[in-house]
Amino acid sequence: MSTSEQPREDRSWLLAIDSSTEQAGIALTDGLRCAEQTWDAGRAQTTALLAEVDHLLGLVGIDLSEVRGIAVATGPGTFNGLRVGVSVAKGLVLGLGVPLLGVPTLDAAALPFVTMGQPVVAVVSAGRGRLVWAPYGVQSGGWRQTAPPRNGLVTELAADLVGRTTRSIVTGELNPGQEDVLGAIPGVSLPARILRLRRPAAVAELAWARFRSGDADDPVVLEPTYLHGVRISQPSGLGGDV
Amino acid sequence: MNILGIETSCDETAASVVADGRRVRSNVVASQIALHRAHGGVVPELAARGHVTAIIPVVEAALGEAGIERAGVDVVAVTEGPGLAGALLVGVNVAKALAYSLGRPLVAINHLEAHVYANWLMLPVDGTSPVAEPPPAFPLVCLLVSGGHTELILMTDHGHYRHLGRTLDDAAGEAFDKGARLLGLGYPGGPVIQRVAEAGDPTRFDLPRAWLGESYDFSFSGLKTALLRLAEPYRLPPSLEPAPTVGPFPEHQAAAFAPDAPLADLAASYQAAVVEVLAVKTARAALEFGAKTVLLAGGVAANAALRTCLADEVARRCEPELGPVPVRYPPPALCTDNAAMVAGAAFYALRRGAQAGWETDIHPRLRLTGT
Ligand SMILES: [Zn+2]
Repeated sequence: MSTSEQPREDRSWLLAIDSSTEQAGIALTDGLRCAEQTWDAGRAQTTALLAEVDHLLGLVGIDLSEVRGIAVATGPGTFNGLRVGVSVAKGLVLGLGVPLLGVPTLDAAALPFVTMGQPVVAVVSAGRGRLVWAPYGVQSGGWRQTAPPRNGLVTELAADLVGRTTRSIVTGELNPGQEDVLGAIPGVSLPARILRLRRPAAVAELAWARFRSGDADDPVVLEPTYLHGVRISQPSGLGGDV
Repeated sequence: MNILGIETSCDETAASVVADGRRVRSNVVASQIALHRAHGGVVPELAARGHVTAIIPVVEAALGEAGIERAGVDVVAVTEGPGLAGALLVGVNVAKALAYSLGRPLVAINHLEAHVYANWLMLPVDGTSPVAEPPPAFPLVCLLVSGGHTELILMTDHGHYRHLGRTLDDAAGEAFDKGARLLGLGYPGGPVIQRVAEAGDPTRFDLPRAWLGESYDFSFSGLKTALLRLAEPYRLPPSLEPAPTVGPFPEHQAAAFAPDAPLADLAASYQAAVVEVLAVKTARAALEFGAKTVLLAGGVAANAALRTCLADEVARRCEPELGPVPVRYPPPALCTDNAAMVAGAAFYALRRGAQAGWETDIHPRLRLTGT
């Protein structure tokens, strides 16, 4: 990391948070430099996330007051994982009085491969073996999602990929069984697992341009993307299951 | 010291500013009751989703009503459990990040403890300064009754709790919800049963009381079976019933009763059966442990029949030996879930050094024990 040309008081950092899945991550960027951390949080995002934010700020040597914007991955993903990230982001926005920017998790997953000259299918785990995926490609000069996200088992993703006429890069978190199924499909290239790991720096990168232009989301209404509805299974009293 | 409390353990998104553990400067509650009424109960995922979009306006309203800026918050307090996991996650993570970004201490509070501490709070009267009441005297016995809890607690000092008893099945508020559903009265059950029971005779129907010997535990599951049996003769035959309301819960179907069905007497008798066991066991505990105060807490503490019955039982059983023992309960707005009670409890918890770290987790099954 080189020393900044800017006077120190002008430094303006964006903090990005992604807890969409058990693979959690945070990143800091000032548009040029970037620090990021990603780890397998399991279901312990609540205990880890803020402590790791504090740690990363210390590592980079910046003060919380230099964080002028918060970006958060909005899903799809696991409901409780997404809620942790969005809640931490809202708490920071409340306390710091800075703008909040939501970034779709599938966009962040696709970003590292969208300029490779091939269509990309980005995949995010939604828990309990279910996957959410969407195709990305270059259209009218820029890359974008070319069809709405779908949600299903790996066999349904495989059927979707078999039906595609072009070669595709498939990226995102997959377990070994899912890798076997998808890797066997002709025309599908599956980059190395570490390259398919979703990166919080991608969330920061995608939010940065909007942040610099003064754009932001309404922090009140920002909420996770829920790709399926509420399963109502058990009654409970006014006090819930406590 | 201004403590900002945040509470999201069930279906209320709440925030409040309380000064020095007692003076309520603001108390904002966004209720989801309308959302859950359609389902006849709280749907955990819906509750969690509701908190995510309600939390910022609720916190901002609490600061606004208290007339303080962010920087005027000295401590952030939040309910860590017990409660619904997805719902608790929202409050705990917002509170942590808020405390962190303000550079203020965080205090994590047991929801049950918070309910007890609602009895220390003083609400402003007509916008002026509150009526100064002395704090409850120790040792005290507290009956905490709501839709989620039925707990009998002995408190010998701040932070010193002994759990005397709890429900073995349904919570008292849940018993009211189920009774109201059986009688086709609606949701939530406590207030509607109380209203219908006003015109009824509580002695007309004989419903069972589960005394469970000398134990301070409670049981209400047998009661609703008995109510079902008593109400059965008055139900309209199935062919005349209107189509059942579409609802996901099996019991959530409006029961249709003959116009001359004694619903008021049934409701009054049912309410009396729930209330009598609660009041007698609480008074018995107050006598055994020489209580200087008896407290009611939780949503069901707003029930007038419970208040009357408890006052009678305490006077009858305790006064001859202990002299007059005051029975206290919070104002209605502080009986149901709110964040003022969280902020209030945090003041005393902080005095004991109970500061939470950034790794603080939720505790959906937390109990109230120990010192
Ligand atoms: Zn409660």
